[in-house]
Amino acid sequence: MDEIRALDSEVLAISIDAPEQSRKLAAKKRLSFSLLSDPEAQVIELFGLRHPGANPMGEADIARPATFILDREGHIVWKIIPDNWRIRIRPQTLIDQLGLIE
Amino acid sequence: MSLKNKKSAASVTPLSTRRRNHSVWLGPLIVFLGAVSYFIYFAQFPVLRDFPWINFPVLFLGCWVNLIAIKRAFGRSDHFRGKLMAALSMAFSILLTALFAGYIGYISYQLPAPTETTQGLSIAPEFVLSDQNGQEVGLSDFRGKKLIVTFYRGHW
Repeated sequence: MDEIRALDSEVLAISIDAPEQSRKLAAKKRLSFSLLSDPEAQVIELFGLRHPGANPMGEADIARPATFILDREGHIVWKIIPDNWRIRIRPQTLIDQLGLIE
Repeated sequence: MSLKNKKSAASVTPLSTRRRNHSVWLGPLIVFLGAVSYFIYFAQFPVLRDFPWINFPVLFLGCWVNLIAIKRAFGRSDHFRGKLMAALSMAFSILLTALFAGYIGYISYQLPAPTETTQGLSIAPEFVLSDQNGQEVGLSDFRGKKLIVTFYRGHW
């Protein structure tokens, strides 16, 4: 996270979890970035990332995993949309990409 | 008692003196630990998460121990007890190994294809959401900074 901030960058992580749930997760994992709560999946919908049917018990569809890198003007300059929910992107890949942006 | 039973009773060591077949419970135990340890421990290491380099060998080891249990129970039943348990434990081990392999190789791939909306985005749409401390955070707060925006499945 320090390496990312050193590149004048921030991280926003979005899920349908309530802020209370995210607070526990951030405390447990000692996360210093924002975990944003999108309980009705409205932003998830804006990005076209709803995973229909994956949350049969809840009110809103959960997000399929996806990561975007935005430049200073908010343009999406890089994205990854994995085809498997187990496989997570390596932080170093993101750091390398951030380093390529002015 | 029938003739058949008399014959087998004469040739087989009595049940009480036949040895316990420890691989009967050891096999499924190894398989169980091999599957569960992925989720509670090994998945935190990226290389072992992406492909269960440790869990698969452990699962196969468990099945192999189970195979020994089967061989003992059925091949040397004069020495070892527990045919039924050996068969049940083998079934358990194979089933759990197959389930785990299915999760790794198939179930975890069950995601919708990337949508046209996602593919077509060139500018991130503006949004304001509450963070874990109840603070409103908007995308525009970060104009002038580089930003990683990541969507995750969450705990729900």
